[in-house]
Parts: sequence; C-alpha cells; structure tokens
Amino acid sequence: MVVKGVIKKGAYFDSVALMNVGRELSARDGVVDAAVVMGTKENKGILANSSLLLNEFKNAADTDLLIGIKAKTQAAAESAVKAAEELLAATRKQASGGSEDFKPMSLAGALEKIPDANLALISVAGRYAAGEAMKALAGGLHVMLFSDNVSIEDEKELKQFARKKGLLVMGPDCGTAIINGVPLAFANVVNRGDIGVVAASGTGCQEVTSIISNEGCGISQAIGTGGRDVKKDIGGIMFIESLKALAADKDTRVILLVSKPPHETVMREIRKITSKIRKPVVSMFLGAAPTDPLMALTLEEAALKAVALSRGRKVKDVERQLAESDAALRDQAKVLSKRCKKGQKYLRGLFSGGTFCTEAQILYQKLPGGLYANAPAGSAKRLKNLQKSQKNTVIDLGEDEFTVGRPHPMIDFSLRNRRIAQEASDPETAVILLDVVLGYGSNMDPAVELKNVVAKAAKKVQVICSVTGTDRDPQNRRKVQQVLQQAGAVVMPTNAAACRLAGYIIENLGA
Amino acid sequence: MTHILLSIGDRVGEGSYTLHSRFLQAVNFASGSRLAALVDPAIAAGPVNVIIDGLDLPSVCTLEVKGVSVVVNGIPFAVAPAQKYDSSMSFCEGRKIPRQNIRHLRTLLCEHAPEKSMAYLLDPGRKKGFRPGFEAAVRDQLQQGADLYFRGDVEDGVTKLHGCGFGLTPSGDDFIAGIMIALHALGKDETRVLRDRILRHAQGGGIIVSSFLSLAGDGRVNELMRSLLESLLNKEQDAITNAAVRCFAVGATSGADLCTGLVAALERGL
Repeated sequence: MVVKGVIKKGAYFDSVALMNVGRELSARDGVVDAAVVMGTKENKGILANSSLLLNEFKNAADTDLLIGIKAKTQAAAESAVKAAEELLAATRKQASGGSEDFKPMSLAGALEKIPDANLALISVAGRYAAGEAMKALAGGLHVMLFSDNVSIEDEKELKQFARKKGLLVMGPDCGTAIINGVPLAFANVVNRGDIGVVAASGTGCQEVTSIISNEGCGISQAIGTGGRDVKKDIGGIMFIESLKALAADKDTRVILLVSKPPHETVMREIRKITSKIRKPVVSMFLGAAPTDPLMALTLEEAALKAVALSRGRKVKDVERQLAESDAALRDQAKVLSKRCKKGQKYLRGLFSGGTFCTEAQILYQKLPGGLYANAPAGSAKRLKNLQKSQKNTVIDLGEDEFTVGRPHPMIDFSLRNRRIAQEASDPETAVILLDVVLGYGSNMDPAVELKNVVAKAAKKVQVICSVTGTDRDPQNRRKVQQVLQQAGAVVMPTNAAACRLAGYIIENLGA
Repeated sequence: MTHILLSIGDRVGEGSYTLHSRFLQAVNFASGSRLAALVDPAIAAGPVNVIIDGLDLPSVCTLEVKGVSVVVNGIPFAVAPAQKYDSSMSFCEGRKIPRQNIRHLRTLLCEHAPEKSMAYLLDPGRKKGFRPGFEAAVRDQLQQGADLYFRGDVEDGVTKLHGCGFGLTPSGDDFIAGIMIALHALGKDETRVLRDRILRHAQGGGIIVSSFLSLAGDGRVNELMRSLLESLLNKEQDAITNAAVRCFAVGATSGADLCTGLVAALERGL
C-alpha cells in the first residue's frame, strides 16, 4: 500500500468543494482511502489512525488543507494527488470568476466595450431590474430580462415603452431565448433554420427548439416573453409583438407558439393576428385541448408539426407518427410493468423544468390512484407535505420553496438526487420519472451527477427520463443518454414520451 | 447598473479589512480577529454578512467599514437602520419550544439530512453511508465527542468534536455551534457558564471557525437559523419543514450538522 499526499497552505475551499473532491478521489481506480480535510489537531489524529498521516502533515496548521491518498500502487497514488490538485484549482478558478476578462460594472461600461450591441441581458435583483431595463430601452437596446420579482406595473410600462420604440422586452423571468443563432441564458445549441418560436415558457422553448434541431430542421429566432406576458394584466404585448416580428421576418417560414393558455382577450388578439399571417402558425397552449390541426397537446407534437410544415409535409402525418409511437410505448410499458414488484404501484415525477411538470399533469388526467403536485395543474391535487410524496406525485423542484438560498435544480442536482434515493426506497414507488435539461446555464456534467443515484434507484424501481438538448450542447445529449441507459434508466426522446410511458406502466399496475 | 446595499450584519465592526479568502458566493475579509463577508444575495443575511446587489464578487478586493458607511473597492454605501440585520435571539426570550416541534425537526433530520451529515447521531442507520477508513473514523470520533459531551464531560467532548470532520468549518464545530444556539434558545441562567466552558475548549481553528463559534456562543444567528427557530417557537409543522430543509441545504453537511447539535441539545434541555 502506498500513501501520498500534499499540503495546501492557507487554502480555503467550501465544504461542498471538499466533499466533492473527496468523493471523486475515493472513486478512482486503485485508491483505497482518501481524505481532504483541514489540518486541525483532531483531523490529524484521525489521519494517523487511518494510516494517512504523512510526516509533512504533522506541522500543518488548522488553516492548511491536507490531501491524503492511500492507494494500491505508486502510480495510482500519484495520479490521485495530481487529480486532487487539478480539481481544487478548477474550483478556485471558478471562485475567482474564471478568467481575467474585463467585467464592466455598469450598462454604460458594457456599451463602451461593445458599442454596437443591440440587446441587453439583465439579471439583477427584481426591484432594480425595471430601472436597468428602462435604461437599456431608452438607449435603443432590446432587453432580455432574466430577473423575476418585477412588478406587474413595471412590466407593463416597460413593454408599452418598448412597443413604441419598436423594441422587444423578453421577460421578466425569461430564462430562454435564441436570437440570431446566439443562445441566451438557459438555451441549447440548435441548428439555424426557418422555424421561429415565440414562447412564454423557458423549458418549453428549450424542448421544442431541441426537438426541431434533433429532427434536422432549425430555428430562425426563439423569442421568450416571460410567463406573465399572456395574462390579462399585460395583455400579451410582447407575445403579439414577437408574433408580428416573426411574421415579417424573411428567414422565418413557420411560426410556433408555446405558452400556458393566454387570457381570453389575449387569445382573441392572437387569433386575429394569426388569421392575417400568411405563414403557418402552430400553437401549443399547455392544458388547452387542440381545436384545429395546427394546435398541439404536447411540446413534442407542436415541434414535430412545425418540422413537418418546414419540410412541406402535412401535419396529419405527425398525428399518424405519434399514434404509432404511442402504440409502441404501450407495448414497452407492458414489458416494464412486469418488472415491477408486488406493492409497487405509484409514479414519482421529479422535475427540474416547470413546464415539464405541468405537461406531465396535463397528460395524467386519469391516473389510477390520483395525482398530487406541489404546483397543481389540471386535475392534480396540492401535495400536503413537500417532503413526502402521496400516491402518484409530480414535483417541480424549480419552485421557490425548493430554490431559496440554492441554485436552480438544473444546476444543482443534490436536492433531486436525495429525493430520487428517498422515492426509490418507498415500497409503493413503481416508477421514478425525471427530466434532464442540457444547454448553456445548466449543470455541465449531469451524467456524472446522476449515474450513481440512478443506478441505485434502477435496482429497485423503473427509472424513466427524458434528455432535453442536442449533441452540440456542451454536455452532449448522446453521451448523457448513454450514461443514463448504462445506469439502468429508460431514456425517452421527449418529456411527453417519457410521461406517457411512465403513465402506461402505472395504468397497467392499476393502483 | 446601480449597486445597492441590501443588508449588513449587526456584528460587522468598524475598521479597514484585508482580503482573507474567496469562494464562489462569498469573499471573506479580516480585521484583527474580526471577520466580515461580502456575500451573494442568494446567501442569507447573517451577523457578519454584507450583501450588495449587483456586485461582481470576483472583482471585490477591498472593504472598509466606517461610521455609517461601507466602502467596497473604494465605492461608499450608506447604511440605513433598515439595512442592519439583527442577528440576536431576543425573540426566543421567555418562550419555550414545544416538544413536538423538536421531535418534528428530529424526524426531518433523519429523513432529509445529507448523507454524510451528523444526523447518524439521531438515526444510527445512517452510519452505513460512510466509507470504511478515514470517513468511518471521522464519524466514530464525532460520535464519541457527542457522547462524552452529553454524558456531562463537556471539556473532553468538545475537545474531540472541535476541528473534527470535513469542510471548512469541520462538522464537529457545526455541531458545537448548534448546541450553543440551543443553549441560548433554552434561556436558562446556567447556560452562560456552559457556553463559556465550551468556547474555552474550542480555541484555535483559524478566524473563520473561531468567528463562527464565538457568534454562536453569543447567540447570533443568520436568517435561515432565525426562521427555523421562529418556526419551532410559533408555527405549524409545515413551516418548520420548509425552514429546516433550507438550513439542511447550507454547505455539504454544515447546515444539517448544526441542526443535529441544536436538536440533540434541545431534546436534553441542557
């Protein structure tokens, strides 16, 4: 056995970083034991008892970081020490901002650096966001307002002002847009093409743009509006302006609208404008039953209909394609149902994307045993205790109650991973349903974050997940899918398909 | 962009501070034995935290506190009384935490604390989550320290706990801080003496740990712990659940370790 180590003098890392490094080192081939701890007297005592105390550690101070590795071979020990230093250096780089690039302290400073910029992405605390947005609009810039907690009054004033100036205000609380091929905030690397999207839903926009790209078509523009835009108070100002902009855009041949159902007055206005547009307009108003062939029930259906129209095909073809795929899902569900143990009868959906959680609820109107949710939609009932699932439960982990003081679940997987383990241990859980959202802004290595917890859960229950994104995303969709499949998950191409498969299993089990 | 001072802890003392350490969401400064931290708005207000909206933390290099202003990178921010965060536990005075609420917090720790937190002191089944070798040895020493402390051997217990464990504030110190906060919440006369004994045996560990422990010893808590204590005193169990889960999310195990110390001490009423 070989023991190697290193002291990092006066090195401060937070506990999450130290635990992550310790975990990664212990998982390396040939490593028998590993410790990454502060050099306190007590920790040195334990290192000695664990045969990890090197002579040079003895004089280390409380404020020094000690890395001790016990390995089967010299090479494994040395390689682990090197890996520890690299992991800590990467953490340090992140803490110091990641680069030495110029970082302007104001909008004016940013414009000095990029004088021909025509769009400002604003992400500051809500109460200051409107002021910054108004400055940007006054300066002739389009605005993407990532911030939330902006008042309705401010939102309306900003949008009315922008409309007068012929500018867009995407947001507040707008998480996704793709403008002139540039992904903004949480967005994916998609093909450029002739389908223009207007979306009042961030993950909805990511799902449709990714499906379109994965089908071989592409996006001209994807304009986010923020979820509140289509409500009565705002009157759909930006949804309508964006629709008009895409109607006038020569690079856009098909328009796709994604939103929760707009207020009836907004809906009337959208219909009025749509009737005058000479391009096909596909729409998916989540929860609204389709009343004409260009409407869709799910994000998948909407994206595929836009793809068909872009290729000059009929939308009826899509309905046939989805019916065939649905029959295949029912067959697959029969096989998976047989793997469930006695007493396993419920579904537990753990979503990082709010729209995906709503889409699941729309598809689960008649699930045996009923459906509970923290953000109920359709016929779902409100979950009484957020920490404990009831019967069939779907949870949007991006809701405020889960995100105060911590990053969004698309970035930080720790909360969901704990919940996966908890649900897998429940003898009544038959299926765990997950979404994995890739792209800029999301966790850069979801496969590593999920593979162990999914592998453990998949030994007890059926794990079904969808991966939203493309192979050109920084995380690479194909690789993430492969890792999840190897871990024992059933990976579906879309959230709707994953939801349907999971639902059919529960129907077969019959609660 | 306008930078606005959102909150400054009531234990941020006057003085010229020097840069101590940087993290993703916090930059620590020291002035003598005093600590002050410029933190991201996503982090809770706390006794030594300064929160300025819109600040690019990686670019922060200097901090000075004088009179009623805070100066960051040479930019002054006036401190209004409403921006001062009151970290005292005066809201606990003369009030008792109902036993069923303490039991509820225990249950939450057993069910929801992170895998390698000290919640195994409350639920021995959680011991399985530690790898054999160093991790298991740390776990066992923390268990010994807690056992000694609660058997009445305060000095030996604290000595074993202090500086023991993972993280920048080792788990044992988080646990000790939880005990001291519980002692304040219990509000008994003899707790002052006990807190002094604990602090005497928890010396050393650098400015971050010593500042953390002395604040807990003085009954100074951050916003998350304040919400948890208020919910334990006042609220329905759902409010306790929501406040507790936010505390458990602090650090890798820090928040849960602190809550374990809190529950263990509250249950014993010491």
